[in-house]
Amino acid sequence: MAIITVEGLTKSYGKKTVLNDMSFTLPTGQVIGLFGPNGCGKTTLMKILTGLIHDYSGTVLIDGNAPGEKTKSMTAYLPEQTFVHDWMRNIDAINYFNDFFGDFDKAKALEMVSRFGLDPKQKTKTMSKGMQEKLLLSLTMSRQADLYILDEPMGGVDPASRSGILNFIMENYAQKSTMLISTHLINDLEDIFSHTLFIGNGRVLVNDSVQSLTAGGKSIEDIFKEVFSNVW
Amino acid sequence: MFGKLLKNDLKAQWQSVSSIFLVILIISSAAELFMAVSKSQIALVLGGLVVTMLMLFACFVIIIAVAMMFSKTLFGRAGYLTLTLPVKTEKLIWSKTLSGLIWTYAVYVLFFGAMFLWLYQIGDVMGADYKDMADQLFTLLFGKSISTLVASLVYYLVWFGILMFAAVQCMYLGITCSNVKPVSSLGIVGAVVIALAAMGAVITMTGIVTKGIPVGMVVSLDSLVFTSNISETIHNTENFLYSFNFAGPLFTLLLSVFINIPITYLVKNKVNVK
Repeated sequence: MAIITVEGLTKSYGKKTVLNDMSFTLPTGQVIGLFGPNGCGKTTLMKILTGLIHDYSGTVLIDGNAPGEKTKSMTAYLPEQTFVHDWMRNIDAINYFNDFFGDFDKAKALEMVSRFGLDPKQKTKTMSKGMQEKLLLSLTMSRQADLYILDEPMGGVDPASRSGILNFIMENYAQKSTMLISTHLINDLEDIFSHTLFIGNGRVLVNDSVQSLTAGGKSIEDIFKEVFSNVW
Repeated sequence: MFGKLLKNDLKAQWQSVSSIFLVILIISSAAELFMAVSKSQIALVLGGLVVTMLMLFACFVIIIAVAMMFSKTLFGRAGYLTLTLPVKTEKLIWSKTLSGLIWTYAVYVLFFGAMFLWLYQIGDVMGADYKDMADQLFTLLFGKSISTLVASLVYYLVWFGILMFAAVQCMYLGITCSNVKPVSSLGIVGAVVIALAAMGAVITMTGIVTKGIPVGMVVSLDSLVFTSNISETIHNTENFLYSFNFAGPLFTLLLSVFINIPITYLVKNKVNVK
């Protein structure tokens, strides 16, 4: 069964068409890697799925519903940039999530924040990018969502912390859920993916399970290089 | 859910307006101290002018702070959180409208309250003529009996609240439009032009539509009468002071409520978070 269904999706910025008549479905209960070169529309696609972009054509469905109030309640989204309000301390951000998301586990969030060594009373705007990312990750992963959408979840994290954070993500997501992760760090995350979606030139280039893709002995990174050396 | 939205919006806006309240408090206290020790009329007038200018500045700053908070939390990076909350867009916008209105209203009421207090306080120093003038102004605005005073106060506060509500709505409409193509290319200029045009339209339409609806309140020195024919009641009233038309405020309120519809529509269907 598909958690995400996209049909004829087209999105342009001015004269530049980023997503061009794109159609695909993504299966439920998988960890899906969303890959593509810079500017290929990964973030745009995620913003459409989360209801942050409206001026597109085509059909987008999450569990059979167009992006809206219902899909927002079942989707945990981690954008590429910090999204908590400047005035918030870590504890305020946790309380904010607790107020609005019925699937949010406050005790778990407090535990995660402490595990990352963050002070609940520290103001978020005084924290480094890496620390902010850890907070956002704690907030997102403390939800028991049906769908997690993570946009470059480790972009600002130092290489030494990556494997710890990766384990952290895998330990904490709701096991029956679907996770869509965009990343350039294919090597670091390769092992966790069970399905891949490659996009480039506005189109879907690969939409297949990792098992079937790597059956020939190639790694996802090798396949990525192969696919995009032809496209770009 | 609306209560939670409002609570968080009030809290968020308090972070930016609290400094304005602090400035008002400090300035008012300084003015009080200055007037208490000063004996010179010129010093009092100059002090009053400085206080007035600073208070006016605070009133301007609060509008900017409320506008910026609306823009940042919806269309800035905080929009990634605000617009992915599982709540109806209508509730989101109403919450921001009410919180913006509450803080703006509070600052403006403080400002006018402080001005009245100052005008009265300097009465003793400025002499009998000034005090007579201040008394006359007070009587003209509020009458002499308790009932006219209360009715006038309530009317002014409500009317002023409705005007502030309309202003906040028009401002939010301007900001929202400036995040939608093609107005987005004009930036802040587009937002200001649309906000002023919307406010002008509200005032003009209110004037046109309510011109022939004479429902209101007639206030004399000692009494007030609610009436459906203001001019006739004025004609029959002794010691007439002034009249209030209810149709204007009510129609302005109605129009302001309707401004929420295009704001919600645009946020829901047209605005893209950058």
